[in-house]
Amino acid sequence: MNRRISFILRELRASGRQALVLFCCVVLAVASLALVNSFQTDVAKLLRGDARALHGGDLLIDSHYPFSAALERAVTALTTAKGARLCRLWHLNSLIRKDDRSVLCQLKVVEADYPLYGEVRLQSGRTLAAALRPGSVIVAPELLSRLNLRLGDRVRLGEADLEIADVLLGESSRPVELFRMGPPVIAAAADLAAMNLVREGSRVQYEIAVALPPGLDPEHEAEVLRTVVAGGSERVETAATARSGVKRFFDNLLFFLSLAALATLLLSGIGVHSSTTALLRERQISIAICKALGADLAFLFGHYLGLIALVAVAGCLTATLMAALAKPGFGLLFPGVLPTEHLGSLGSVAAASAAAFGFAAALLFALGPLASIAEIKPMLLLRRQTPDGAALQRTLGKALVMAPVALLVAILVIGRMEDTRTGLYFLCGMTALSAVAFAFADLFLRLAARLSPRSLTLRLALRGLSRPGNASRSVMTTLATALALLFTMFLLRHNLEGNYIASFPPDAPNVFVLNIQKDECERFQKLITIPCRLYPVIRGRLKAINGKAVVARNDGKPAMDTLAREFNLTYNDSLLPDEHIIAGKALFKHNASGQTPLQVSILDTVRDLGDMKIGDILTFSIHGLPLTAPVTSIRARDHSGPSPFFYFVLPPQYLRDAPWNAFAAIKLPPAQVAALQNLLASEMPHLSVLNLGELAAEMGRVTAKFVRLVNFFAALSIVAGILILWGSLLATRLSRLAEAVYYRVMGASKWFILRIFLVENLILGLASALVAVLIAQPAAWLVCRHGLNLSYQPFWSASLTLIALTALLVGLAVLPGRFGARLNIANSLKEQSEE
Amino acid sequence: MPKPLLRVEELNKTYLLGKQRVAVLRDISFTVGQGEFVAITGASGSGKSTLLALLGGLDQADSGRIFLGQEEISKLNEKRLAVLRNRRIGFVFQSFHLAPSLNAFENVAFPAELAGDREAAAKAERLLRRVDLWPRYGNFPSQLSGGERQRVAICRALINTPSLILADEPTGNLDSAAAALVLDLLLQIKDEYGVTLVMVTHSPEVAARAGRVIRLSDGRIAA
Repeated sequence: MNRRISFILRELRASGRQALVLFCCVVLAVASLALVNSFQTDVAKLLRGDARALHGGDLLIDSHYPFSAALERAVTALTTAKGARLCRLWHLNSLIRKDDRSVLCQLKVVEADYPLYGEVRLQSGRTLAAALRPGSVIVAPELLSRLNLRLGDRVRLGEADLEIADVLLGESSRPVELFRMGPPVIAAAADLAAMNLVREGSRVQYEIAVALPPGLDPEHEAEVLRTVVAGGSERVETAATARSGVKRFFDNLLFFLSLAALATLLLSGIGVHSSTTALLRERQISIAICKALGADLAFLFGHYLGLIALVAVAGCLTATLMAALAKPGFGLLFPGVLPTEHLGSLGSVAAASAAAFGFAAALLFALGPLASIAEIKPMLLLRRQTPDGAALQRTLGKALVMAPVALLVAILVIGRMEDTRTGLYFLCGMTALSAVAFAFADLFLRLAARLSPRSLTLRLALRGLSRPGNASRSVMTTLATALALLFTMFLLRHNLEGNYIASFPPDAPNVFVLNIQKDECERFQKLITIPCRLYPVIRGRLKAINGKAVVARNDGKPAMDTLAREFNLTYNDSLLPDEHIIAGKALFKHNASGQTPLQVSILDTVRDLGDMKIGDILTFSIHGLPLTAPVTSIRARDHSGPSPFFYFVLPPQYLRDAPWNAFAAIKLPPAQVAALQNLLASEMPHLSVLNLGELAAEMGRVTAKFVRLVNFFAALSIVAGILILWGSLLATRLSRLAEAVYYRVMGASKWFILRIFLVENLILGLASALVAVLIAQPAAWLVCRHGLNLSYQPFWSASLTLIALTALLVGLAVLPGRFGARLNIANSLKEQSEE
Repeated sequence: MPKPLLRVEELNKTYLLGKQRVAVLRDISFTVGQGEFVAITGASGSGKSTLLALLGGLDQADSGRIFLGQEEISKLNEKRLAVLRNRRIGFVFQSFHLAPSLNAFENVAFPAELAGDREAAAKAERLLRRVDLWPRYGNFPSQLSGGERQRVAICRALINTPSLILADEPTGNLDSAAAALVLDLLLQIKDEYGVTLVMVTHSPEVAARAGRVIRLSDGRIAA
């Protein structure tokens, strides 16, 4: 066998445990990346494979208002002059009723050509065109069960009685079941007038799907249409650029999974770094002997790099195999995330790119420790220094090596994110998180080194934390970083659920009724007989702040909110019960004669969107008419939650006569919600009744499905933390063994020695989890209170559980070491003396 | 002959080297009296350190008996051996074997603390002052010279006032000046504390200062 290879294999055999940790780190990083890559490919195939089927057209035009005459003319010209086909759709939420029961459904009213692309799968196997005739309706299976219906039964939608013609099994435009307001229902456009659901001010999304004949460029035709659209309210997209809800959701999910996989990769990288350090520490004497015998740095560096590369290749191959075996189980592990038929095998591209990326990262992270080979001097043999000596600590050249390595890692990560800014944000975020974790860890270890408790076990355990080469800081930093990430996600998820899903404040409304027309408010209030407040809603857009036009961001990035969207304005002369003024003296200013001039009060959250302040002049467009008003007060809400709120409030006299409709927020005992829903479905069928409790449960169901997937990938970063801990235990194996021997010679029992190491690890785990909680709590609070404007619950019991569980797991990690057990003291002493 | 403290009878020890069993000690028998200083000498591989390990209860003999006072060491279980090592025997090694994460004071105090001695701190201070190392009590082993480390090890061996000190080449890693200092200190302390000293050594000079020399050759007592 080649001498070089035999050298590498001999060194590999001699440092088996450390090489195993290194191998596991590579496996973890590559398997995690490969699975995310593969899932990304599945989603891309599902969504981008046939974008036209997903969106239902080459061009998609939509608006919350009936389309402008100019746009209608342009679209008609497209059909007459260029042979395009059109299909109009109306999307709205409505109550569907049968006798005395009703359910809110997600209604899609379609013209006969629907769908222009893709398919609608019906239980009967017929096409939609064959099944959906005027006077009929297609419903989702759950609607049949919830209203106890059968095919052929008649249901009431708005003011029309329609026959259930078929059962909807699936649609190309809805490949995955995400959150929805109710079961999907498809009705024919011919019945739109009879249903009488589309009225002035009703919340309807109007859509035109266009199928272009071959040869026409969708982007060009979209540009032509964009020249005639009504500013802001009408949107024209092509199938390639449209962001459907499903696409948007998966973009966000994949972005998040990529972040989790990258976090795992970086933490595994630290694992590679620490295990390589441990491996070289173990081989220190061997390296010193080689140097004494004339081996130069290039020889040693090359051979140990070869060793790392060999382990990394084995890790990449194993990870690929494991990921390939695990991928078919995705459907079982994460049911409902993607339709089973869309969950493909691992895929060669996904596997190869993950392996290449993981291999490169492993070599880069190993370079730092490998550079320390230069610091190991043959003198070490003469000084009879123990392997945990200072040789590896002197790392003058390390900084010079680490700087370009860090740069290369950053380039790899940014390249992986495919977006420089997001990649930099991620790296900065991870660096900041790690820096905070390191600062806490350092502070804790400094404090621990000063402590001198009475208990001997505790004292020795604390001393052990600063054992030479113990890497306690690295272990605490990485473990705390991983736990902080995971725990922040846990807190955010449970706070979101707490705010929107699981519970409502006792006095918060649990039913919203939408689309109450201006002239039917009185009838509505008489009908429901429950005292409730009606909130007038006037739709409008903010056009300018101090004369500077408000423009939509056009960088393709998702934004939490934008000032360029349409807002619901209202008028009022007093604050809502859960509001208070944070700037200005009162909701509105009055002049000397007691009159209220035109002015606007804004909510603090919208103020932050546009950096607005008291005295700024806002220009609105309300139904096409300009309205200019100064900001005279800024409001804040006492709590976040499902109670109504408005970003912009104006004095009543300036908006009362504008076209408006109202919504009602009602607090009802849950048992009475169905009765109210049925009453409204019967008497005022065009109204939309939202049962917030039911919607919250639906959101919880959908969230749970995807949270499991996210948690899976995020949990891999914890495994990386454990690998680092394992690496650290191995790195200090000889020191611990030596300590165990000294203690035994002095008369300590096996249990006493085990107790020291157990307590030492318990402290390490306890401190890491404590640091994680100290980081996660304020981070989650910041996101909830200032990012999402939600009330915040710290979930202290979960925090304590995390701390206890981590301490226990990390504490028990020492058990396989069996320090003190089966120890031949005489032999160990002899070996240590000889080293 | 002073009252016997250590009695060794027919001691045998073999090691497995590969597939071959090698006899390290063969039929070793001797007695050491209280307060005596006995040097064990012999060539490398003659079994000196093995014998010392057996005397200290750090290893098990294949056959034979070792008595410390009236107690038969070779019959003690692990737990009782640990107590014996803690209370009745002090060890001084060539490579010092101090715990690197404990400072000089903590290293010295450790055996007494393990024994539950409330005076551990005071005793450790007294011993460190005795060997002129009190100013360096907070230093870790890596911050001490070889001679200083060995003095700390001697203090550690003495803290529980054992009846027997087993020293394995205590001057082997030291320069001649430090070696002389350590040897003088050991002998002074032996006299001060009335302790028995059994020392393995290669050095004829050191052996010359012993009351008696046991020379090992091929695992047997040669003289």
